[in-house]
Amino acid sequence: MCRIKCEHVMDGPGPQEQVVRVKQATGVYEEVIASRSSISQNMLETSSVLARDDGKVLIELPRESASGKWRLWINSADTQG
Amino acid sequence: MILTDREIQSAIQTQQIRIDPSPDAAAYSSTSLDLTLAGKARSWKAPIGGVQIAIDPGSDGFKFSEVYQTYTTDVDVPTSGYLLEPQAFLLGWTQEHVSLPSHSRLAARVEGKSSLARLGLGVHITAPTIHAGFDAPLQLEIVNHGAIPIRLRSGMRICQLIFEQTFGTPAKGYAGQFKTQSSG
Repeated sequence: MCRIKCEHVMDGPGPQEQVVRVKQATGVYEEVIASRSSISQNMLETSSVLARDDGKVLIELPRESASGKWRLWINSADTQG
Repeated sequence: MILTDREIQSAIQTQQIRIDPSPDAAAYSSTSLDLTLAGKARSWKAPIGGVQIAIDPGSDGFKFSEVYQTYTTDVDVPTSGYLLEPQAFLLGWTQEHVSLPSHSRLAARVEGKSSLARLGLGVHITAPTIHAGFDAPLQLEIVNHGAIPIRLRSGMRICQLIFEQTFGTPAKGYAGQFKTQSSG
């Protein structure tokens, strides 16, 4: 498993969910609705690293993002594990 | 391949499927498991008259949170009932928390119940898949397509889950010793 930096946006919509935003390698933020259990200390649990490229890693989010993406390229510096 | 009631129960016993609270024996059919409606939901508000708005979910960086905070509001769904008017749209959730560990090689689909469908009640909108790795109560997109208001009650059987075996383990759930091995 990998963990990526995230920022809390709001609680909900579900009873055990939070909306967080994560920063893509492009610099554009993506909102994700995630289970609270998958977030700890502003880190979101994701898949393990699926691919690497020039300081970036490809991960799969635990849920589809607000604009419909499952997999994002994230700067390695914003990840753990 | 769809799991039968016996296979679902076996998968729950071995924690390949986790459901909390645990479903009672009457919640099963031969090939599905009924789930129940939670007591909290979110209702969508219509925009005020004379204002033209549009949601743009395909834009990069689309903020669901802004739409949600502006156009939805909390509602209670008590056991005494919440009246869903014709054409009304409600975001609801199941009482049950469902977990499908990625390594379990299982996914599921949430489907409506025919008893409710014939009244005009839909419980999801084109996104029925519960992917391997899912871990939360299920969100339901509830719409009354009928002409008569429908009373929703907390705890009522609202949807059913159909479990399917996946062919192989998804990359995100595979942590075996050969994960990083290349063919070279």
